[in-house]
Amino acid sequence: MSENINKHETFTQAEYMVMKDDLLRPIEKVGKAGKIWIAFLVAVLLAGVVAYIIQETKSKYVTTSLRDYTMWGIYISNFLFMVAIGLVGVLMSAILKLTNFEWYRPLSRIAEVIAIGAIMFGGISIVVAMGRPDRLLNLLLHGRIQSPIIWDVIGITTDLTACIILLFIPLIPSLVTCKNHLKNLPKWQLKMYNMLSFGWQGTPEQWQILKKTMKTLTALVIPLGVLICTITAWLFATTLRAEWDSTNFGAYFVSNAFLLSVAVMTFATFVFRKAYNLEKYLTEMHFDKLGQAMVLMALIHGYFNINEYLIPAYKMSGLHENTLLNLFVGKEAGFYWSVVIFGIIVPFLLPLFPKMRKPLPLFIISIVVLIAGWFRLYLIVIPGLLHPYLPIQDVPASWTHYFPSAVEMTVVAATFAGVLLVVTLFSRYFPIISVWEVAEGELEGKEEIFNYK
Amino acid sequence: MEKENNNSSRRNFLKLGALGGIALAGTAIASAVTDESTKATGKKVKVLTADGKLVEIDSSLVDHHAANDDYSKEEIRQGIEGKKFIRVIDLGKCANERKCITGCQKAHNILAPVEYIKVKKMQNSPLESPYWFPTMCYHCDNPPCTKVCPVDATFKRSDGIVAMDYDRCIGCKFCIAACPYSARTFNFGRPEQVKFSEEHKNDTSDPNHCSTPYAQEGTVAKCDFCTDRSAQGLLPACVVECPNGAIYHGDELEDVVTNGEDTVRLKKLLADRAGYRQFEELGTKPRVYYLPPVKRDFPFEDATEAQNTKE
Amino acid sequence: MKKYNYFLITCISILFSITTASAQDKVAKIALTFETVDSLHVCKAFVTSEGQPVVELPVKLSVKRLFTKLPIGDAIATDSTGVATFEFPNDIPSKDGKLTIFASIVEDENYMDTEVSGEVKWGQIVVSDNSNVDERSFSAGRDRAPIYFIAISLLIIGLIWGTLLYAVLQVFKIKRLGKLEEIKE
Repeated sequence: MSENINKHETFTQAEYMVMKDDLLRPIEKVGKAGKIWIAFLVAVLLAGVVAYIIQETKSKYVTTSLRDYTMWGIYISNFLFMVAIGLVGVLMSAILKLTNFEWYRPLSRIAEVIAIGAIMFGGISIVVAMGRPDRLLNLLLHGRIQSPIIWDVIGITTDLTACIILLFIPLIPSLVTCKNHLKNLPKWQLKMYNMLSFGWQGTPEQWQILKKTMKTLTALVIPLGVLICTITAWLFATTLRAEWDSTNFGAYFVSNAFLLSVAVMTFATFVFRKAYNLEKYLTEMHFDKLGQAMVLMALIHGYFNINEYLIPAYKMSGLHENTLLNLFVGKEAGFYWSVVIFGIIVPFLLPLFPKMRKPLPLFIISIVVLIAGWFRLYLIVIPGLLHPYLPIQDVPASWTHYFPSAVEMTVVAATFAGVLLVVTLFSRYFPIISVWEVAEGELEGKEEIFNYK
Repeated sequence: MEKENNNSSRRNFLKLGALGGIALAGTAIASAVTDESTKATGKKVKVLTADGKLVEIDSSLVDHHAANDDYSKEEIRQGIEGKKFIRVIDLGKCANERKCITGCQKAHNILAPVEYIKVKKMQNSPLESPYWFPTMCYHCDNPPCTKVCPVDATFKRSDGIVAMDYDRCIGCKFCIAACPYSARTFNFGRPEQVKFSEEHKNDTSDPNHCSTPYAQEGTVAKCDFCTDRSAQGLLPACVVECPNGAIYHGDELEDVVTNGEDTVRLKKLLADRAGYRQFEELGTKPRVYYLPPVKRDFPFEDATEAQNTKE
Repeated sequence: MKKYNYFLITCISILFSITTASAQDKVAKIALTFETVDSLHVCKAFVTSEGQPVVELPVKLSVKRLFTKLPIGDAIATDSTGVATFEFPNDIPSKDGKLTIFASIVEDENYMDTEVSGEVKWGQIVVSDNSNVDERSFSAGRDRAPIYFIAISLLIIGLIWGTLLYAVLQVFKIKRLGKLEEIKE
């Protein structure tokens, strides 16, 4: 059977074997560092579960910092962050694929897995924030189509399904490669590959169906991803609160998502490159291109950021005055300007220099951008809540400010651990780089993949 | 989609049946009560006379409207037939006595710092005079909160009241985010409140007792215009408790509002005293009007102590 | 002796106030009649006490409302024949046109508080319009969303899930082709 695999490919056996070896090695052996990493992630995840149980059994008044005015806290801003990085699947696999930017090839599967993990734990982040999670079924039984939350629920489920299908379909040929190439794996794993490969033989008809379906799905997932991101923006823009009552919100959130997607892609690419020794496949060229993408996305997001903050500041309407002054020169000024500098100016300015587009510098920049991006979403949600139309008066001190409690921070950390765990575990059971897509790139004479220094 | 149609047609049929039944019952009870020679039922009810006196009379003398004394789910959603509750607050009469706040808290068995009605010190601009501003849920005619509720736990009734179904609320707090008047509160399960609610579950001793319970833990609560009291022709707790009679409550269809002592025609009051609605430009169409403090009954006095300092 | 003087004076004052108070014990009866004269609604309250008409006695007119009674105009004193004539406005809203009108004597020095009521169809019929909850809107319940919105939402959801379903079906097609290929070999 294994000879049949190469029936329809025409490059040298030697080259292909080297590629397979490199890309399938992480599945074969898990080193000590790998094991420690997984154990650490599981520990953080469990800590989050324990924290959540504590939150639900003891009163939320005591375990969280949520109060009547700041009733949405870091759970919601974390949800926004997860949905934003969930757009990485759209960006990397879909947009690049359809616009014939060949350097997507090794990145697409990484992007899809991150997207799936992020959307899953974004949904979990929202459920954690619910007051009565035991009534989750009410969303189905009594859901109102007019509610933006229902749009969000429908959108997230749809996006998750679409990403899973979009991850799985290109995986089919790789599964057969795994099944044939990796002989000394536990029986159940080989059986799983066999089952999931759906009788893939590599015939021309099958390839045709596969390619066509992939093309349809990638075309679908672009408006779907953008729609999901816009719907999360509409959770805020459909309210009358002055800070959220902005026509710019949809574009602001989507451009933020694209910027964070590039950042998280860079982050993941660097980690996989180093951890699995994939320098030949995740080359410096990829970082160069990612750096350029980051400049573009930072520019676009900076544009919407200016529209969102500078123009209301110009008018300084009484409705926005308190919040804006607070952000620009008041209590949150340090916060706000750090986010602008590290979240927009740094990813725009630094990668303009070729030296900054090397793997390590770009990796550091991407970490900075991700942190700033998380806080940007925090600054959208919480300061607005502290400046309602009617003044906050005569309330206990804890109602007038918000700082996340230990329980909240643990749960949020657990969602991060969850995403990382999903990605790590996937990369240990399935090839994280699409073997056939890379080979296909090589096959069709796309020199770009390997000749760049 | 078919199931939705079946459900809605079944629901419509049930609604029609329930409405018909209630209308019949209502007319029967109403005709029985307006007859001069009614039989005393022996059950005593506390009512407020026109001069603000609290008396206990036989319940047969009180015109029971469509609602029964204990609410069923269908009725909460339908609303009291033929009424459209409305409120007018005279800002010239509010002196920050906070009796409305404490009265409401006692009537609903809630503890400070939870307040369905809040009194805020407002000053629109430096040259204008400050004034005390009682604010509560305005039961808007274009409610931003009911738009965003994902499970229909908060809804607008035909009698004008925006009601809460505590059994369905999933605690997403979107309605709190959507309300521009900060009218809603959330039950985070504050330990003292949880204990108090448990102890006073069946406590109806307060003279202004309103049978709408405090929200369950993890759900949203707000002013409900003391729905069950309004159904019996009893004024809400805050209206009764205000020593200055600043809150006028009534039925828009009857064109009458009263603060317990003075009963006036609504349209005339609003026209004469230039009634306005808060944040009219937001388009929420609130059902609470304010009378500007043009001729104050007494000068503005600042608050002398901070309230709700205990966590 | 002086002590007893004070005691006596107090006793007499108390007795006096009691007698004057019980002087209020006079019972007055009101007979309420309704007439319509030239499209004007007129209420006549005929006050008698111990068979004799009472003159110069203020009578208050009010109409029953949900929470309380709405006073109509000011108190009008009975004329020489013991009748107080009220003009009743014709714009008092009522659900079915029926109004319960009260004529009362309140806090008069000579007579006890009395009240009498009568029902008359002088109300302006006002029908409560439930259009605000019945009409389709974004604020309405689940079954009353705007039709265009339901249609568009279902269309978008249908298209997207249709495509996903198509993709899944294609995977099964691959499986079928694979089986065929296996049989061939």
